[in-house]
Amino acid sequence: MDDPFYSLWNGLRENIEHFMDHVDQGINYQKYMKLYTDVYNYCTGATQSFFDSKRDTTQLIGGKMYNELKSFLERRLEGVYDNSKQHSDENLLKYYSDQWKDYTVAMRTINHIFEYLNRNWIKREVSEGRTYIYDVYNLSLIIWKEKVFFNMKDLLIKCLLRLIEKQRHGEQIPEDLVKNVIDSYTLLGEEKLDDNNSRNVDIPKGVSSFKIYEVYFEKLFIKATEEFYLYESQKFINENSIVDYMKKAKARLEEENQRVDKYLNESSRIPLLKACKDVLIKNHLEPIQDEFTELLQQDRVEDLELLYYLLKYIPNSFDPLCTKFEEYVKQQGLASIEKVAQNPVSKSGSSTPVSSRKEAREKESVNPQAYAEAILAVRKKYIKLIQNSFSNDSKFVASMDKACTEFINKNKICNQKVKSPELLARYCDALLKKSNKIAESSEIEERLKDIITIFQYIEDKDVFQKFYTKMLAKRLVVGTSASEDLEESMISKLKEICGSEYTLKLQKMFQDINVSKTLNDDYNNFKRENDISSAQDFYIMVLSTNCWPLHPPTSPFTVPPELEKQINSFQVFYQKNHNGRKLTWLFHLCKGELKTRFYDKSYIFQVTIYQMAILLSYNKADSYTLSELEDQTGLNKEVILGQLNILCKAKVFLLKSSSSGEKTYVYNPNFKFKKIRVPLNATVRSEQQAENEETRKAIENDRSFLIQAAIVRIMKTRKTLKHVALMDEVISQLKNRFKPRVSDIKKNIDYLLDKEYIERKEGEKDTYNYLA
Amino acid sequence: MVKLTSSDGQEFTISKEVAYQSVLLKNMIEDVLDSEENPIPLPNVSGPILVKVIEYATHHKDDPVKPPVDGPRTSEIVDEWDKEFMNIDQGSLYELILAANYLDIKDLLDLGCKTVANMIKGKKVEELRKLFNIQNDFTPEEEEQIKKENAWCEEH
Repeated sequence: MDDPFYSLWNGLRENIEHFMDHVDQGINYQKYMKLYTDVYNYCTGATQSFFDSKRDTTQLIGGKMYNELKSFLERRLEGVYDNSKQHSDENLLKYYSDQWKDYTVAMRTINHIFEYLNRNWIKREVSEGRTYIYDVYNLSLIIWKEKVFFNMKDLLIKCLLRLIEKQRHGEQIPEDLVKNVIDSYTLLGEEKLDDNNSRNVDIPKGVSSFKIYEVYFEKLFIKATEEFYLYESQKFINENSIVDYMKKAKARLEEENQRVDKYLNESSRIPLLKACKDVLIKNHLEPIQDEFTELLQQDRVEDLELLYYLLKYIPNSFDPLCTKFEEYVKQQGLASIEKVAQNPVSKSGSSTPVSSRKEAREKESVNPQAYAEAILAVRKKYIKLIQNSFSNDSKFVASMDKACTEFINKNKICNQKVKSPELLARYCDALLKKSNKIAESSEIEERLKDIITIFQYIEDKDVFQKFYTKMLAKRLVVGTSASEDLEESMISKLKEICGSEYTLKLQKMFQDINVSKTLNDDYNNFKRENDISSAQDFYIMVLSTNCWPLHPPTSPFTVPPELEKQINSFQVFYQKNHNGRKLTWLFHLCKGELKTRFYDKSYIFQVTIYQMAILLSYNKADSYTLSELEDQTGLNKEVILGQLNILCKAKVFLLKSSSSGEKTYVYNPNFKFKKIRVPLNATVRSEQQAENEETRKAIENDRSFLIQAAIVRIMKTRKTLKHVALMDEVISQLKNRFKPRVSDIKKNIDYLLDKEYIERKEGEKDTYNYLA
Repeated sequence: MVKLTSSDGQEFTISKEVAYQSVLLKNMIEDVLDSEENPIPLPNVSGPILVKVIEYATHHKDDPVKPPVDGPRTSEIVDEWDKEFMNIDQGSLYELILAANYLDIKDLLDLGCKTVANMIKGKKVEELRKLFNIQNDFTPEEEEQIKKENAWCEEH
């Protein structure tokens, strides 16, 4: 004890010990400086002269003090551990936590008091590779780990897990205490191991270091968590409904998430929640998935959202749900359409005096609007559900699209003659017509958008195109289109989806109409210049044959002399400007107005040109037989009977039988109608049906051409191709237009083989060559 | 404010930011919950030297934190104020270096060491012995041996 070092050290140690015993009292400047200066003076060897050349100045002083400090701390912490044996359970945690708190607070200050030792002797030792030397603070943690933590760890974790389990059962626990103890695990940091890892049996051999927190807390904690929830979830699901179970599971997940915030390491969040999800959801996946359809049927939006929330953590768990969802939406769509099919429209289209009551009974008369609305309602409902409950999950959107494609293209109504694309085109027609009573003009745009939504699901886009073209032609020719803007907006929408080729003809039709407007102006000028007078107003449309779905009249027709002059002069005018163009007069589409002078009231008859020819004959006589009228008009029997029927129904004529038994049409002087304008030019129903029939047939023809064109195009680029590959390419090329039937493709391949566009490759039955 | 007492009992009052230039004072003020009225005794620093230290710390209190220097360090003193500040007698210089070491003011310690290095640079052994008041305690044989071993550094 004569060594001056020990008298210095003893004083130092007593003071430190006193400070550690009374951490809460702190230390004052005086004492702090005294201790720091003692360490400084010892390390600088201030007892000796600074320039004393006897001392080896390359050697730093400090090792003795370091070792004394180390063994002082070791002895002290051995005592801390010994005292812990008096405590158990929560008290034990409290004892550990209090000791830990005091110790770390004190050691932070003591570390600073020994800063000069840290800065010099320790720094030099470490830089020379002595890895078992630490700065004072870390030294203190390592000693704690050895003397206190490793001795207490088994008891500590038991107490911690017991408290956490209590909290899971809903009891209050001192969270601060738990947090403090767990924080000590984190701060104790890593444990370095020697080669044989002898001290710890939990650690696999060869591991050189591991985190105290992970091995002595997290691993055990997660294991306990799994066990807890394994038991709880099984019990709960047996005793409660699935929906209640899902609510419980969600609450538990949230609770565990909060647990991380409250007293765990952030690094535990992912493994903890994964363990919980595995036990709470993955283990009970099937009953939860089985609940899905039930919830759909009952429109339980919130419960579905809950189900989605839980399952989204489990990879691939949506796949069976998507299948169920697709099937369910499809059934909903089909059911909704069936309802429409069972309630056909009873109202008649327009209020012509000749409207046929038969209409309602017609098979074709599914109301296109009701049909479209039924489809849209189903789609909207499930789009909304996906948004609200399934976070707009693309998997579910895809399933819904598949379902829509299914039920829009194959349903009860489609099994009849009229199919979705035709109905959709008719709905468009109804909306775009002047007489539309369905929607305000401001709404029409919205409804057209809805139609486009359905259109995107349509497989046979070519059928839609055919009917749409047909109806557009009629709107333009008859002049019933409500608005050019709306027509154009619809066409540009179609173009967006199907490309410009799809709408080429539609646009050309608009052009013709506009060109015709100027043409009429020019013709009127021509008449004025050439002094051609006429008693009638005259308006003409000149339409290019390939773009319009119009056919020449089925019956010959003798133009009445009253109109002949007009027609001839236009012919002259037009040939003068466009030499060599052939004009075909589509008399069956012409219409006009006649003013009556022979009733007590003057009416205006709105008539077809055929009716006009018939009526004009009655300027000369009051009664004609059928054959007389046939002779005068040149019309064939079928056509003229249709026209006459309308006139008879409207009571313009009275049908009588002549003595020879021939049908005779007599002028009715007592004709009466409630308005001045008498619409007589309604399309004959049978004509329209025939037309639709024709359109459907035309589609089949067009498809053959399209399939042939596709085959030739593909073979031209590929030169040689296997049968199956050719099939696939044809289908994929045409899928934007329609879904070709395999048998149709085969038929057309045979046709092209016959025509020697392609040949079978020699020796290989299923391969074709292109023939230039 | 922070009160300091030098080894000869002089009292100084300085602002916290000046005091914080010393890692020792900074750690202590943060660790210790003592009254600001109580002076901090600095038993290893004399009044005149503490004046110099405070002057230095006050001048540099707003300096940005310097990034650690990589590569070889030079003894060149760039700052003119620092050069002028170090223009003091040898005794004070050594005391200032000791104080900087004690108070843990790294920049001042570096500055002191650089100043001493500059004093050594380019001087002969005899000149240095005189400058630092070092007695030659080698025997002539020892001296010859050392000269031979270190011949390489005398050559230019």
